Amino acid sequence: MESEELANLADELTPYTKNYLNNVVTVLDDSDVKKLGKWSDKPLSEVFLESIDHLKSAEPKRDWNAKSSSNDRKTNHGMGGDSTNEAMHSNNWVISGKHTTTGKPMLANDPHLGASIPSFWTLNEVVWEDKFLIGGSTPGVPLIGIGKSKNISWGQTSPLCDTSDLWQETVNEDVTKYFVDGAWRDLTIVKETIKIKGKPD
Amino acid sequence: MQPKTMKSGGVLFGGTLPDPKHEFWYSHAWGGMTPGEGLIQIVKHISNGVGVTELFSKIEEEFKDGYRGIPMNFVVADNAGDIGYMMLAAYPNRKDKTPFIGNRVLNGETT
Repeated sequence: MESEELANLADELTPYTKNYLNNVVTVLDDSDVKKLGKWSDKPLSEVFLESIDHLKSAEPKRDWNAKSSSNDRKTNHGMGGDSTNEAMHSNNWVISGKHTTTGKPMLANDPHLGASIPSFWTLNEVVWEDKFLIGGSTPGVPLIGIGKSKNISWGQTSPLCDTSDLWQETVNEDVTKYFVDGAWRDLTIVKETIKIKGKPD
Repeated sequence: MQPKTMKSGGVLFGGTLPDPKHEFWYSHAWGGMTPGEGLIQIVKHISNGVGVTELFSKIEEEFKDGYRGIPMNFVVADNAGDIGYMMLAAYPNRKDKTPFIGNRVLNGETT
């Protein structure tokens, strides 16, 4: 797309910016995505995974069963991988009202997820009685994750801490047992039903 | 039955990991998978118009046995000028104390 064409498109999309400022939900619809040349007939999940593909750094040579070394501290920074890429590291900060001229606190929260189509974030507002919540939400998560209410603002970023474990398992032929500490144990099979509107379970 | 492929493994489990190999089976444990409301519960309190101090006492009461949910750096500020920070995360107590950020692939044949 030529730069002039892009500029025209930006002008065309300006109303969305106005809506954003007026606290109205801002979401690109299918026709906007088509105009941007990003339309795809693939399932949304595939498009999303492709859009974040750049987050994966070059794959290091690694012995999967080796014990971690102190070198991991320098090279493994969770999502994004490349510790030299500061743009991939989210940040948030908050300043007390004691240190501002207005007496009100200041809060900034930047999850550094990058721009993507479809967008990771959508702006949502919930109003009831004399209260409201407004902020960023993401498809599939039933809450506003970063936002403000009538009297409080909140933000969150990933601490990139080591809170998960991944094991490479040995399972039997029909995947009913796994091997651990010299013996086979039964796998527990859990069946999850994900309900889809208008479709049977 | 064929092992399920995990195309986005490198992203989900830390960018420095290669995609898990498709011929193997993996099991995964993460604090964020623990059933419970976590951030939703906190946002419910926020919805009810609490200030920072009250919100933090509610969080401490709510998660007195330890926060289980998606790990996060949580920051808040209210109209009264108060601010707060809390790192909400549950860490496994490991035998291997080597500092590590991200995920490592462990041998599932031993505990």
